[in-house]
Amino acid sequence: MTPIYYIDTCALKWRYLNGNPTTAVNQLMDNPNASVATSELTILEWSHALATTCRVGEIDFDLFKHNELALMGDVAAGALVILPMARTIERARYLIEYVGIHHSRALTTGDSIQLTTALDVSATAGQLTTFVTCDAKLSRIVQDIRDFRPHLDSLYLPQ
Amino acid sequence: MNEQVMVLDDEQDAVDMIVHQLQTKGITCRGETDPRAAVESFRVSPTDVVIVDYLFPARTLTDGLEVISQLQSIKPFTQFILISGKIDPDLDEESLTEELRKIIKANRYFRKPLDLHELVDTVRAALQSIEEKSKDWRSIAEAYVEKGKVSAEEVRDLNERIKGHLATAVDQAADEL
Repeated sequence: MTPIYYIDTCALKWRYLNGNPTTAVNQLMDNPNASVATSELTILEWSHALATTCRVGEIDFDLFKHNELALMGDVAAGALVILPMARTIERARYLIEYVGIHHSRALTTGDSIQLTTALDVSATAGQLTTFVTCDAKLSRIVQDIRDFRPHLDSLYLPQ
Repeated sequence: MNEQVMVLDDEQDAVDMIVHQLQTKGITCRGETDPRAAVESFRVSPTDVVIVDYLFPARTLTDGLEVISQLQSIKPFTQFILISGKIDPDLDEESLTEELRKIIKANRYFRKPLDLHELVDTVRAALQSIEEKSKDWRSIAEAYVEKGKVSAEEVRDLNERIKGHLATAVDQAADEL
């Protein structure tokens, strides 16, 4: 069975930046026997971060485009699968209620979309999906909430 | 904003006629007569399909091919339909369409005067094709990297100087949601 990883934006960024999690992220994404997926939201968050960095003059437009192309290159090569958000918002709303009220844990709007998409991946594939993140708080939510267990596992990569 | 189709022709009457025809068929579209303004408007709100005239008066961009090249660099995943009355009259439309497809990946070439019913059918087919392909991000990504690739390793090196800023910006982008 091909292992499936769901990677959020804060972990995926280390594919395109050098840092502590870079080797681990590369090992996942360059492994032809693993499947790595993320949400369309990740594309937006990555563009947002690049635009912010461009706006304050840290990168020029060429480097903005190079970064965009690097991500698209990974998608085109099949190293990263982008999942549509078609009905994600509706389900994410329930997740915010469930995690926020029934478990008294703060789940941001973005994290609810990431988690919902990861749960969709698990449901579609019918197997455990490993949620890869550099966000310790989010990783703990995945680990601590028992209902996630048959579907999601967590891989925390410290930054 | 957010129309499905942009029509670009230096003749206002031609633009109005095509826009009217498409709108009456339920296709949202906007018209432009100035290539430079069209490129700017496309930057703000890229459409899925662009109908573009081949020749423009020598005041801004050279011709429709140049416009297409600029629009493609903004949004590679776009379908183009080229129209003109002035391209090589000896070539039949099928051969010309094939030639243009090789050069600019235009979906179709239409010689003026236009058969508006056929144009509407072609626009519908192009929108349908985009709709199908846009469900698959791999197809979109392939369009992006068609003109040039940058590996993750290359971009890591390029980002080395600003990695702290970019890493923080990503976390802030996520937090903003």
